[in-house]
Amino acid sequence: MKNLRRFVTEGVVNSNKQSKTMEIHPIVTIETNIKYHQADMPSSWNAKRFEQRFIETVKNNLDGRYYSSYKYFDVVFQLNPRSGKTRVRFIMDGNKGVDEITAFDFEFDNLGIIDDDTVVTPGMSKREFYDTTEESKLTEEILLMLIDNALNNI
Amino acid sequence: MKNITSFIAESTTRAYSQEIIKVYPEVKVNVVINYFSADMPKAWNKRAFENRLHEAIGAGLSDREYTHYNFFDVTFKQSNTAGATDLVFTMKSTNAPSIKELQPITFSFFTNGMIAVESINKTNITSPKIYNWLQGVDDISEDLIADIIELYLKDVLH
Repeated sequence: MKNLRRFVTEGVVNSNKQSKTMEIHPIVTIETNIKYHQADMPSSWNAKRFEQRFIETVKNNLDGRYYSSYKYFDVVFQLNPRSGKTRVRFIMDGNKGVDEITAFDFEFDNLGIIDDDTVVTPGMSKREFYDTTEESKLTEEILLMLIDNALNNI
Repeated sequence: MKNITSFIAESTTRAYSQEIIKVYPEVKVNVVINYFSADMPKAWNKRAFENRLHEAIGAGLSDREYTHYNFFDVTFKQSNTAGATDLVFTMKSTNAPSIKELQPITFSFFTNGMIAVESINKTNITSPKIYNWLQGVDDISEDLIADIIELYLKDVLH
């Protein structure tokens, strides 16, 4: 039988600890949600196309990068009856122990003009937000870019 | 100026779309090998064992649903059984507090590599598959330890 060990009997009892960080590549199941009342979704937007591009944006951003622990990614459109504008939020959440974060939250009118007074961006800097929205007119494309930027920050 | 939003005011139908998708991120895990020099088999190649253990953990956890375990510890320590060394494999999650620490593989072996049979019981080996397999092994080695851990991660841990 193979002699696997010989004890160091001279009283050497040094504690050894080898610690190493390594990378694994598991599969993570995530959930994307788009919530809106029909009245709140811009009618010129193609909801199906937006949905598909939203999913692609999330997937492309998360594949191959460091896992952020966020599992739920929600875009919520909601009409604000007081202002008559549409409020849009991008919310990310994880399992127990991970705090929900609203990456951005703002209102825009029927011309796509963002109401600066409503802009809240806990998940990105204001500068990053305005660099992306440029002339403050919101399109599907710009909203997806905002989502991509917010994902980059987690 | 492009008219982006014209609301359909007469409709209040709630729309909702949900997709469950799979992504393939990179996850960093920490692997620790803990031992007193007196308890680690001197004949073993520690570097090779470390590399083989990393391979085993990578193979056991990649390309499968993420388990949230990110801290793996293999500890060799002096056993209560004279002349034997305890091996304890511990895993825990530092980013998901609701996931409890596990010690799925714990057994002892002697200087000649023989496993202390009485140390193999269903309390400290959480998988019947590994329990049965270990009982058929009479000479433990670095490779076999890594194999057991890989088997556990691949086939038992869900």
